[in-house]
Amino acid sequence: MDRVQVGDVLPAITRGPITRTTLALFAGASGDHNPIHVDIDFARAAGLDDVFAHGMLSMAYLGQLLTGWRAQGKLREWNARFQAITPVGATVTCSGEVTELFDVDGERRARVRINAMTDGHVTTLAGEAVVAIG
Amino acid sequence: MANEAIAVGHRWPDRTATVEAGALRAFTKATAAEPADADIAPPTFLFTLDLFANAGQRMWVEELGVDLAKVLHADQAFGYRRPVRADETLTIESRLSERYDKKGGALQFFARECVFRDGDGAQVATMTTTLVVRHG
Repeated sequence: MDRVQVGDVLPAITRGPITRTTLALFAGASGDHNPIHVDIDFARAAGLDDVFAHGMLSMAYLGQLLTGWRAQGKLREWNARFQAITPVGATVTCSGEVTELFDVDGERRARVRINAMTDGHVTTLAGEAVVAIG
Repeated sequence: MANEAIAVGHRWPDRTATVEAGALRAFTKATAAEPADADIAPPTFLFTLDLFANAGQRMWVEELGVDLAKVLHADQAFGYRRPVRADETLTIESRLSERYDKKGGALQFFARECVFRDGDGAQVATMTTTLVVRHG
């Protein structure tokens, strides 16, 4: 595999469009049964126009971005901040860029800035990952 | 207001959960994943495993006494010693790791840290969930 350098861009991935079926399947499969994601009556009673996607669905997509770049066993740590909701119908694109290379206990690691963005150009999740390389 | 009795360091009862192969397949389908190895739990599956382990019981955030309608997920973090595989049974230890206010108390933050251990007691992974409660 080519040598990793600061500024390298991870192969982006796109998922969606996120349908109501997507949200129903993810509610069951993820164990997150919050009705705000699947029940439009509940969402309207809460003052919203519609349900919106689980933040952890987009974080799962970000996980695929990372494990598509390096094997999952290389992923050391990562986080995501939830910055905006993902509406029904949105397409989500996950991107990443290497920002730093460093060593920990003799292991070469890359710090990667990651984010998820909707087709409405809203950044929904932003975070950072540390991945072993080499 | 939030339950002041639950302070930083508060430890919730340990729970155990098994990573079921069928649950991994359902998660993979629901997230449109194309895993290289279907027996490895995806990176965020630990969040789901914790929810499954807690199924039917009050969520930690409910014990804090906050209004669920005002709660948002602020940040989610994971750390790994090794990947988790299908059929493993893990013990989940959890504690309140942080609580702080911003904007004069209008925003209340709570962080819960989980440690996942395998049958030998070895640490496999950690997870920190930060929630924010919006007042007013």
